Amino acid sequence: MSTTPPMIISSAGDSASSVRSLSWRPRMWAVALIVLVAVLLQVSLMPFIRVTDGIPDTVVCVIVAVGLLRGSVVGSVAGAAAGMAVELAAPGGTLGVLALLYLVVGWASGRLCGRDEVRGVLPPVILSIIAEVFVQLGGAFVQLMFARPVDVGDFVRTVLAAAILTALIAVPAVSIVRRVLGAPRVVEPFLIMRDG
Amino acid sequence: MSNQGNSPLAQRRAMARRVIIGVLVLVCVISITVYGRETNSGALHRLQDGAGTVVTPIQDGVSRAVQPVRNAWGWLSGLVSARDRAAHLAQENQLLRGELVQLQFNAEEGPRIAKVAGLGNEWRADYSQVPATIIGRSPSPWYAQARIDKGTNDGVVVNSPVLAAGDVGAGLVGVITQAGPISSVVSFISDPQTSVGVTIVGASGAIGLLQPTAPGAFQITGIPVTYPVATGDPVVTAGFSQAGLQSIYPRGIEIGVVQGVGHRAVDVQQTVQLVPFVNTDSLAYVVVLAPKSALAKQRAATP
Repeated sequence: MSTTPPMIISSAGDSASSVRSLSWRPRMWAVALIVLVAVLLQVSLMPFIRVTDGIPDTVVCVIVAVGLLRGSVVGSVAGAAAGMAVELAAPGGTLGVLALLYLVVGWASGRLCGRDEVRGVLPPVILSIIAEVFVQLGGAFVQLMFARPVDVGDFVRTVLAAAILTALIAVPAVSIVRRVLGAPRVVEPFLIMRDG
Repeated sequence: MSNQGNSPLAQRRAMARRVIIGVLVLVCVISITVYGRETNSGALHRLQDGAGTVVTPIQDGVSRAVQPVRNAWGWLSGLVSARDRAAHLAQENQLLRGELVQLQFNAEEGPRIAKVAGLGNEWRADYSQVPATIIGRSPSPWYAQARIDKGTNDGVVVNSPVLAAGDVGAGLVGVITQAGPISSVVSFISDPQTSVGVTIVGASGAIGLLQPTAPGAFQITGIPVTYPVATGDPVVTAGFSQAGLQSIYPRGIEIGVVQGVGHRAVDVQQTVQLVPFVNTDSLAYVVVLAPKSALAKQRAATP
C-alpha cells in the first residue's frame, strides 16, 4: 500500500509555516461553508427526491470528501457539526445520533487523507456508499434501541435506494469539494503545534 | 498521519486528536441519552424548537430557491408512474369520491349529529384553516415529519390536525407535534409514532385504529369480523379513540378508502388495509386546522 505523506498544516514556528497557515485559513471557512450548504440542501431539497423511501445524502458525500482532503480531526468536527445541524434544522430524529454517525464517517475518511488509493473519482464515491450504508444501519440500530419496530424488507429497500441515490450525487459533490478545498492537507490540532 | 514520526510533538498531536474526537463522541452520547429520556418540554427539545425557529427564515428561502427542482422531480416521478395519463380520471374521481363520502357520512351520521352537539362534520366551523408551506423535511427514513412555515403566531398549536390535497382527493395527512412562533413540525400519519382513531363509513360505523405498516401502507386494527367492511369503503376520523377517549382529531375528516379486508377463521378482528387520499412523500403545501371554538381547543389540549 503506497502512500504519499500529505502536507501537515502548522501555524507555529518558522516563516514558511506561517505562509502556509495564511493559505489554509480561508479554506477552513470554505469547509464550514460547504458543510452548511450541504446541510441546507439535505433538509430542504433531498427529502423531496425520494425513491422507495430512500433519500440521497449530500452530507455524507461532503463529509467523506472533507475527511479525505483535510484529515480525521477536521473530518470528525465537520461530521459532528453537520449531524447536529441537520438534527436541529430538520424535524424528527434523536439529537446526537446523526452527529455521532457523521463524526465516525468523517474520522474514518480522514484516516485515508492523502493516500494514493483514494485519489480519483471512484474511491470517494465508493466510500460515500459505504458511509451511507453505515449511517442507515446506525439509524436502524437506534430505532431498535428505542424499541421501535424495523421491517427488514423495507429497510433493505430503503438502504439500497439511498445508497444508489447517494452514489449519483457523490460524483458532483466530491468534485465541488475538491475544487474548493484543493489538494489533500492534514490539518492537525494547531494549538498543540503552536506550543511545539 | 504525521511525517514527524514518534517525536514528542507528534505524540502531543495524536493525544490532542484523541481528546477532540473523544469529547465530540461524549457530547453526542450525552445528547442521545438525555434526549431519549427527557419529555417534549425538556431542555434539548426546547433547544431543537429554538433552533428550528432561528433557521426557519433560512430554510424558507432555500426551500423557495429549490422549489423548481422539487417540482421538476415531482413531475418526473409522476411521469414514471403514468401520472399524466391518470390525471383526468383522478380529477373526476376526486369529485365523485368527495361527494360520495359526504353523502354516505351525512346519511349515516345525520340523526346522531342532530342530537349530539359538537360531533360530526361541524369541525369546519370549529377550526380556522391556515395554509402553510413545507420548508423542510426529515432526511431520515425513520421519521415522517416536516417543518412548515406557520406557528403559534398564526394560531397553530400542538395537536392541530393537518390536511392536504392529493391526486385523488383531500384528506388528513398528520398532526402538529411541535409548535414555535413562526414554524411548526408536522408528524404525518405515515410516521410510526402516529395513530388515528377512525371509523369506516358504510360498515355500521366500525371504529378502529389507523397505523402505518410500511412506506405508503396503512392498517386499521380493532375492527371485529362481524362488521361488514368492503373494499372501497371511505374512512374518516372517528373523533374518539378505541377506549372512548376524546381524540385530537374532530370527527369526519376524510383519510382514504379501504384497499383490502381479510381475516383468518380463528380471528376475532379483521385486517383492514387503507390507501390514503394524499401521498405525503411529495407534499409541498398543507392546511393546518387551528382551533377556534372552545371544543376544538379542548381537543387540542388532549394529552
